[in-house]
Amino acid sequence: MNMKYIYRLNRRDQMTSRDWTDLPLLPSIVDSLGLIDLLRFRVVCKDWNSSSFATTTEIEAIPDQEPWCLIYGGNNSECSLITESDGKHTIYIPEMNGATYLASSQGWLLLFREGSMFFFCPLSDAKIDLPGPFPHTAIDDHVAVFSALPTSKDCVVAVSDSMVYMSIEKRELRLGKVRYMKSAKDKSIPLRFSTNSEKENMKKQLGLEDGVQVSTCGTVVSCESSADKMVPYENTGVGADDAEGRQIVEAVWF
Amino acid sequence: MGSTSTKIKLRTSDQKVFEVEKAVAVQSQTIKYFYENGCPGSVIHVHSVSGDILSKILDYCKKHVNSAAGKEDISPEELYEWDTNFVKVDQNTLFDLILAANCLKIESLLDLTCQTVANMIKGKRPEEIRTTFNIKNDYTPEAEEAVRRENKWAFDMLGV
Repeated sequence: MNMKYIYRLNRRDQMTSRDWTDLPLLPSIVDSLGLIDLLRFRVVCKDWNSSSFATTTEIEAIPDQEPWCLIYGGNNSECSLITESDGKHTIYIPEMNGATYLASSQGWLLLFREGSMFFFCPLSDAKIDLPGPFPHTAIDDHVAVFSALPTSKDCVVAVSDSMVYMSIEKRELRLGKVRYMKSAKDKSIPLRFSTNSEKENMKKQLGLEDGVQVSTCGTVVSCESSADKMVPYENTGVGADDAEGRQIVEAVWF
Repeated sequence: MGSTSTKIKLRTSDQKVFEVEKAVAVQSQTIKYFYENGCPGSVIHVHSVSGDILSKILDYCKKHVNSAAGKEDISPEELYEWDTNFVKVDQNTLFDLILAANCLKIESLLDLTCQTVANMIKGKRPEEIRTTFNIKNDYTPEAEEAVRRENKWAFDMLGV
């Protein structure tokens, strides 16, 4: 006789252990796990793996999650990942090698490398190239936003020179059909610049001294209960060292 | 005042009968539906829930109804504390509470119990989760490796 059938017959018996693989409500449990716990959850058994799939496909867009911070180690693929619950970890992401972060939203990063721009999701290794050519071969001190998930055909990317926020040329790229445009001043993009507190907190987690400069690409965390939370952009310029030879750490929140 | 003193009769899977204040019983959307669409005064059968579990669930509903109605002077912190203690039960009971909360459609209780299970999973390695819930690993070694490999970087950093 099938084991699960026996279990059903005995369900009312307080002494018989319940079969947790048979719990029909696992999605409600999966929803409250963070990503790392979710990945462990999926390895437990086949039933749990299949029941978690509906959730894992939506993991990029879970609201109310504290963002993770990815520290870019320089001209190699070594990165450090800082998460709220699990501390600091070293991971290797070849796509990050020599790339500049421009924007981050819902688990996706917008990166620029060697004259081309692409979206990259560090959690799934998914990469989506933006159609080129981009008018500049180098990007210094720029920030960008994108309006929707890169997998959506409504996704619009706007890049702006961060030193002259909002005012001068912005280029709008639409996946599939490229439009570079000079935008009018009244067409604002939803970039907001905010306080230092996130950065200071991150430095503490990294064990960095106060004097170390951190250049971060911010993100927006969607919150169901209140206004979306903005983690600020902190751009101290691109380069491995500042004027006094101290290292500048580059990081991206996602 | 009439409606608050109305009683609803519930019969469990093990044939126990409970006479419950309407305001408490209708915390369950399922019972509410049967009450509003059934014959007045008839007994509502909750086939999938035992007397022991229903008794606990009614305690929960009563606490929350009294608290919301201001009948009981209890702060949100105290209610949270009460909820925390409410789910300090053995695993079989927790399992049955989840099934019953789902079947009776009591959303806050379902959230509470599922959150409790999630907390038991958090921070554990797959092997530890299997031990906690007495789950047999039904993957072949190759299949388990394949699942881990899908998110290799994550398992690398877990040291699993």
